Amino acid sequence: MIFNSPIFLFLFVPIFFGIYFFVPTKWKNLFILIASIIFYAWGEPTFVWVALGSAFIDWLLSKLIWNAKTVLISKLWLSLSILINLGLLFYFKYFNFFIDNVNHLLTYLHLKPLGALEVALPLAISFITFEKITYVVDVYRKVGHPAKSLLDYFTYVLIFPKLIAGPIIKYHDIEAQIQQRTFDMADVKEGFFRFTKGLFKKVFIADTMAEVVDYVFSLSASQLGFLDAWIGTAFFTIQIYFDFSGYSDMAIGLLRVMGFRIMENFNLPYISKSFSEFWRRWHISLSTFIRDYLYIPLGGNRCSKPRQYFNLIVCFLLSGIWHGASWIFVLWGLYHGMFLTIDKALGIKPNKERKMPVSLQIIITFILVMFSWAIFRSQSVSQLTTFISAMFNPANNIFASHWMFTKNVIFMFILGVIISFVPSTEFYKNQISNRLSRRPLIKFCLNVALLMLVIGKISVMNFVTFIYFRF
Amino acid sequence: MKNIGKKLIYIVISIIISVIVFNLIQTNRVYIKAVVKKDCTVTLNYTNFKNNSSTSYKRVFRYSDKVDKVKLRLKDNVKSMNITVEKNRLDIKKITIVSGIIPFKVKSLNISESTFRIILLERIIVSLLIGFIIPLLIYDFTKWIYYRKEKFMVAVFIFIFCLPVLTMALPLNKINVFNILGEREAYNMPKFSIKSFIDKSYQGQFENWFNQKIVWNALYIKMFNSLYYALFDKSYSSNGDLIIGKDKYLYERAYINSLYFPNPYGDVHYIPHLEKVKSDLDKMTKDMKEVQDYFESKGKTFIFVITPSKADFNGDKIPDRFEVGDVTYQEYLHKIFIKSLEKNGINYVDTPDYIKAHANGKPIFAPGGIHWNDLGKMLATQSIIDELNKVSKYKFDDVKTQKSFINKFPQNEDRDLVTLLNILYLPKNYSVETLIYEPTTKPAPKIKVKVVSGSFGAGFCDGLTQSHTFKYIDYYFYINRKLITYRDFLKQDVIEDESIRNVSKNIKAASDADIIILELNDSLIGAKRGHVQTFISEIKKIMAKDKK
Repeated sequence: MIFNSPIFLFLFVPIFFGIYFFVPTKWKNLFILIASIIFYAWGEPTFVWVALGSAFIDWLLSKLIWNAKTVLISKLWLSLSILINLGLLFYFKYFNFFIDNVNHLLTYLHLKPLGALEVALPLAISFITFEKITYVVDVYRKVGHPAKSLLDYFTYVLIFPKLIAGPIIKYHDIEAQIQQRTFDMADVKEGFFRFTKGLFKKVFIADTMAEVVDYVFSLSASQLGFLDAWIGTAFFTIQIYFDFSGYSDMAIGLLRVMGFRIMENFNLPYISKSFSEFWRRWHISLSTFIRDYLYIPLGGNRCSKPRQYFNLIVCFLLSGIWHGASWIFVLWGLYHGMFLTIDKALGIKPNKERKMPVSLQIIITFILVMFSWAIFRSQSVSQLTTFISAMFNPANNIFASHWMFTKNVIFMFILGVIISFVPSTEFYKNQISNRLSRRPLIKFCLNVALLMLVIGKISVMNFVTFIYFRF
Repeated sequence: MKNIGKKLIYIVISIIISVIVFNLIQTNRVYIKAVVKKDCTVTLNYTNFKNNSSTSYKRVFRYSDKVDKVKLRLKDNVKSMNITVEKNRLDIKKITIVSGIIPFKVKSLNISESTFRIILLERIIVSLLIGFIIPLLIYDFTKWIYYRKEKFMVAVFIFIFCLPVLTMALPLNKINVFNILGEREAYNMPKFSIKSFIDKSYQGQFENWFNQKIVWNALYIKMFNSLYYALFDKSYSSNGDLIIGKDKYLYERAYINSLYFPNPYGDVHYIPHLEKVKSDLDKMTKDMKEVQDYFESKGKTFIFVITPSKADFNGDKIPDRFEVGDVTYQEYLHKIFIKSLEKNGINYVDTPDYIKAHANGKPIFAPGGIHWNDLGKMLATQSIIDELNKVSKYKFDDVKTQKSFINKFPQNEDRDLVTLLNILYLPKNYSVETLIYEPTTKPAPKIKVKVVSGSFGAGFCDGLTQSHTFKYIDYYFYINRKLITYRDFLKQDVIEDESIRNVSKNIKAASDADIIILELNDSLIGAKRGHVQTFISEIKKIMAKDKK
């Protein structure tokens, strides 16, 4: 079940909140858990049991880690938990990729390839696994204690708004809210506002960009021109930001309606002046995870410079492959790791002033990030090669995607660019944001109008009619 | 003093609202329910309330077996009205006049001044009521909300999410605003089973069923569509296949694709596999010649008809973003195909060419329609009759029209794309040429005529029967989608169930005729497969069997 589907919006949401607001406080978590299991089982009817089973094991292991008499035993239980989690992730996400590559190698060596075993990738497995790892590691580090009840832990793992695409939340950050939260009408209202904002970003901006992006990335080498490649990349840059941040807004909004306040996942990433700043603004929960659970355990900044560079590359290579089982994501991770290493080597830090004008720093970083999205969106290394050669061949004057540029596509792109940059300006903060916050009724009317239009678009996309014939 | 000021403001606002409401509901809507025996015109003569000037509106009522309901919206304030119908062509069942809310049933075709005076009184009362009550309600409501802001806002959001499900059981689709036009697959509520849930088929079917049931969302769909139509000339209706062109001309994407694609450059020399397309076309015409010879050997007449495409005829209204060159792919293939048809001696009718030569620059496609208008149909019918006179043993009269006038209320196929936009207020920004045939006095020959065609075939089948050239026609719509039988010049029997799905059986039946007409739309020339290729290959199978 995805957030922008009619069944979620008009069946799940009314039923869930219709009951949730009236359930006694002590039963609220149980109700959330039941609803979340239904939500997840709707899309993953088989894997939901694997997720529940592995979460149960983690809960037991966390108790053992906490109560272990020696560090060695504690480490042993932690290793077992991580092994189980990564084993599940490897099996469901990377097994096909691994077998494919082994078979390529075996074929190259003229050996008999291994038999095929197609494993279906369950929805949300990456987010669930990472959250479970943060939980056991935090228990091991004594940052937090094990969940008081299995219900609390299951609620944390499966709570539906952040289940599919994050943000990655740490148990000890949300523990107090799971155990006790107050019902506030202002929170509910703000939650719905945030949810509407996310829906708008996803349905109106990201999905409109996707129309062009999907077409450009489906063009063959002979059809792809210089302009197509750059436009496709620019549009995907907007699409991925609004898609992902829109989803995060929806998750944060729904959790707020339920009474939870969680960390922000995006903070205007395209105004970053360097890659290190970009990763402090983009998918913040993931970069925090990489820092706390990968980079620091590998030695962090306490080791030698070459080792730090190596650690950075390793972290982002793993972050790349976390996004998907493909060499493309390995390349994407390496690309980011490489620029972060350059940042580190040159002593570029997010808050450090540099001689170069700020706008130039933003433009350079933006173009380099944009280029990384071309890698991310390519289906294969061969498509990436085609795409890059088209991007650097201005003599190729084919413009196959020109017929895609309807007024709405252009408008949404411009709007996307404005929303990506303008909120960081003083003008926006003083003239628009502050004024709107002082006029809640205007904000409310805007949100209601947006929600109705979003529902209109979602419905029209799900209400496929065909041109009828005369008879 | 303060209160007097408030009261004065209230009165002024109320009067303003009343005037606005009065003007908004000024339109007199006339509904005529009738059974149409033959195509005919209905003329409405009415006098304007203000200046006593008289206006006349003509409206064509098309033949139908069912009761036809036609809605006319008159912009003027009507004082009196007189309705004229053609005798023996129309059986009026009911006339209703609506202004504002209350409908008035009228018995006579001459509607008196007093009826319209009642309507005017009703408008005044309704306008005053709304004008004076609305400000009070808004004032009270705002005061109420002010103290319950948060609760009110949350309630509105919950209400928006709940409304589609709460209204599922209501027959909302009977109300215009909730009625989405266009054909769509019907889904039933799936039966739950563990197996279907595990393999996720239940979820897919349930979501399809659910999406279909939440009719309330049609209102949001129409709001969204209206905004996009007005601001962006963009429609997501009909799966995004509706293209809004210049001056709001509407096209189906497939016709534009055929005109310019698959080559993004539009330069025919770059089209991949063009040589293959050309050789396939040549092979098709050679095969068609064999088929034609086979029919001739059996004493039958075969003609091949090419019908026009709106994208080709109204290419100037296609959005600039599609235009890619001077010579279009379709134009190029058309020329090659005609050459091949001529070279192989096929009895063909190039209706696009004929229409261009005889339409005197008049439009052939309505801005909001998919198919040709009455003029296009009539010219195509004439070109077919010309060809039949040339190649068959029969001689037919030329087509004559009894009436021809500009219809300010485009109907049916002249605005089918407009209705498919599914927007709140349908645009009425164009008129179309409308014709009524004068039946020939020459008795129609007792022969079997079979047509195998796409949707454009309906146009010349109408022309050939309404002009009384043929009394019976069997029209195989895309061979096996529908069989429409025209009998006694007008009546149509339609079969579209499973009994019509057998292609071989249909083609065998279609070939059992004195005249066989095979149609292909210009936009489909060069298509890899279609009803023409199927027809030819099936006839060739019959020919092979005959030889044995």
